[in-house]
Amino acid sequence: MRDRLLIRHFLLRFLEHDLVSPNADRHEVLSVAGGTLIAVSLFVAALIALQYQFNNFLPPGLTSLRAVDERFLFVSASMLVMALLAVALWDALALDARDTAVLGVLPVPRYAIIRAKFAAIALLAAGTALGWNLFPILLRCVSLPIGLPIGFVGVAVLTIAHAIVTLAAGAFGFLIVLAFREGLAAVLGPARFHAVSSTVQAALVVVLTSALLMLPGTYAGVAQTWIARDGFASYVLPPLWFVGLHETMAGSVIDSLPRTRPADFLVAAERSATELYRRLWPTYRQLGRVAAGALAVVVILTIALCAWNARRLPTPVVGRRRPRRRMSLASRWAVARFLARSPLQQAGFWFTLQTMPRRVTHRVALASGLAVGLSFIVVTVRARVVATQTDIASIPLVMLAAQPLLLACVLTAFRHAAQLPAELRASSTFSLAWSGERRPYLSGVKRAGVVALVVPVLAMLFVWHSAVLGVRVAVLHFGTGLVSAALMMEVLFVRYRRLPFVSGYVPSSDLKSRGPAYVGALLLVCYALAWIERSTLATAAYVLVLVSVIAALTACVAAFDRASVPSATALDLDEEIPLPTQRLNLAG
Amino acid sequence: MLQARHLLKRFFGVTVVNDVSFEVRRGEVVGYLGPNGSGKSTTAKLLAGLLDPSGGSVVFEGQDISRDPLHFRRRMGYVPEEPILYTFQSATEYLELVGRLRELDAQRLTKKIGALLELFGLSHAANQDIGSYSKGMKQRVMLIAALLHDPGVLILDEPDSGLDVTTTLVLRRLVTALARRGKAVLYSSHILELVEKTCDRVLVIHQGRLVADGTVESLRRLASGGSLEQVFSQLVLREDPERTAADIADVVADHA
Repeated sequence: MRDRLLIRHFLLRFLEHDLVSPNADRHEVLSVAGGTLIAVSLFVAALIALQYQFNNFLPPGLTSLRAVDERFLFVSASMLVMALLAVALWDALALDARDTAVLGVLPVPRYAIIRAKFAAIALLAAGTALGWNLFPILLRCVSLPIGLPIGFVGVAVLTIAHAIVTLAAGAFGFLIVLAFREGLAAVLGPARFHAVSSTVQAALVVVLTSALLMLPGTYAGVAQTWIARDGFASYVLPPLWFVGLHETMAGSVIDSLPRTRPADFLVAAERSATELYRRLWPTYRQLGRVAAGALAVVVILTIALCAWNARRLPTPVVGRRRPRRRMSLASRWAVARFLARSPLQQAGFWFTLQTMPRRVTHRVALASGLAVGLSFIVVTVRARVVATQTDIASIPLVMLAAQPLLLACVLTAFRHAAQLPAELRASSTFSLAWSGERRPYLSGVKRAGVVALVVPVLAMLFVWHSAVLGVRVAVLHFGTGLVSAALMMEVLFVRYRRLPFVSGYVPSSDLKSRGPAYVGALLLVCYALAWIERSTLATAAYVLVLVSVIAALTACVAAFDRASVPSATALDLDEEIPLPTQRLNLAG
Repeated sequence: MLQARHLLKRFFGVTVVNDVSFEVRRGEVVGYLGPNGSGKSTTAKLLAGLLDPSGGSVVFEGQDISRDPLHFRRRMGYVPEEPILYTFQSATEYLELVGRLRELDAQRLTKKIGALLELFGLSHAANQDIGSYSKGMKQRVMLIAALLHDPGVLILDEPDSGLDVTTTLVLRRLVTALARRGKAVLYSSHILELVEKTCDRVLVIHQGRLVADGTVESLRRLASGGSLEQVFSQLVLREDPERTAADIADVVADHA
């Protein structure tokens, strides 16, 4: 009874959102997150199953190779989604000082608290892994050419093998992050871990989200490009271990089917596919053994590290000291002199810079935006990343569009992060000290966004562009990027009536309808801008004209914003929830 | 200077503050006493403009604060019952944020923050995350934030909660000193001795209604020359504390 109560307590704490919005509803959060997870995996599984309905007479050899690609996709997705879940939970993966304060004083043995915490983590991970993999598992039976005489037993073996490897891969992804976190905490100690934890978490979000987004573009021809060609690659890519495990368990179901002569145009392809697939049998077995061994090692390692770190209940970590160095004083002087002159602008500027890196929700939002942008670049630019371009007219549009795309992704994430309150309860600080002028504060917030996000992103791209486009073009492109970012910032915050990082968060109810339209418009605008920019890059004067036009547009948007939203407003931190009755106008 | 006129506050039909009227004059320290749940903090929030009254009004310098709340807030300092701060900021960062929002001059603000942190004994932890502060340290940060802009009126809702003896003594003298400089101070507290020694006038609230308003001396006369504690007991306490304590001990000891 006590254990069940404790597990329930820890499970509910995973869903705590009361610091984001006073109107947050656990059930709503759970249903939205679960629904999204299941819908995405169902969509992918259904899409793959549908492809087979148009290839009903695909011969066994080609089916085997295609199945390897699909196993790689599902295994990688399961691993990455579960790893991302662990990264998103991050601090909630371990007991904290609040648990000690609440539960430590009760006559509950320490081991019972720890056991309940890890049972809750295991339940959440198992639930998520099952939610993500359920439909791909169920649809495995229809992801086969109907012309193959596999039979009921064969389909059952394929389904069970798929279930085992995807769930095992998910467990591996989750546990490897947990082990990494616990290992870092064990090596560094609480204080140093507290200091580096946020940076590590943000870096993992970027890496894992980028990998997940790039997955659909990379999973074709896994056997030919990775397993067959380069033995080393298959041993350093964990998803391939689990693909090997799957083939060891169920590969023979399709491979052992009797060969009949396929259509003439498939004869050669089928012969080479069968030959390749059978040649890789020893590798599959080795990879399968690696998968089983790696999973066992990770499980043991995670248990050992968690047990080591849970030797005693955690105590509050003394906060980091933030000494004022000369550099810090110089930057404060520069900001006050050039970037944010009025006190309210400075309040917005510094509060944004303090909130973004120190709050988990904000870090995750920004890191996700960066990851999406980077994935866009990698997917669109591909091999042209290192191809030097000497002729301006022949510069690929994707190369020039990469900059506005990445900026748009990062600034959209910034806009979203600004909607999340830093600490909702402490927002009374603003209620008490608010002077009524919204615009200078918002201006400080935007300038902080430019300094902390736009400039580093442009600098990073500048290095790449200098190498492939030359310094002159890179400088001009940098300038265009800077004014474009200013325009994007103004557009994103136009008619913004709330107080960034302070007001309570209300999720947009129109995200599903507006999201795809936003992405489409974004791609269109970025490529159009890249096309215009390419035609101006030959002459600096043309670039100057382009920059002036964008700057004028920025001024127009700012003027429109000034005209439509009064600056002096009373502070209303509790946002009104758009109730369905209001939207349908049934209240009257 | 600051007047509560027939203040009324209802939460979901329950009246928490019922027809409360009083005035805090310039240079006066008014003590605000009452048992838990009597409506002290709600009154303080109504006076600070953090809650809208269900009835009545708060008047500052002759004008209803709802007409120009920003003007009132510029002149008012408020220390809430519970110190709620941005835990990821240091005390310096938090106070800078408050000062900037109040549009104080940057150079003077920096000097003032440094001096106040030093005087309140927080300079050693000034650049440390507030999340690691004790309750008393957080309360001191709240006090500094309330004083930073040299307010004309101070609303202190149990400001001594969590403070050590030294800081409590400093606070007592600080309140007197501020009143001498013309500030109006409303001091809500549970420490009767402190109120007795610090305040010029005492208000007692019970079940949302003001049950006493007078100088400490006049209230003492009510209790036939007894202490403020006796006055408080007569006005507010409905049951015998000794008997209640004995009953609690009995219930605690009842293992059946």
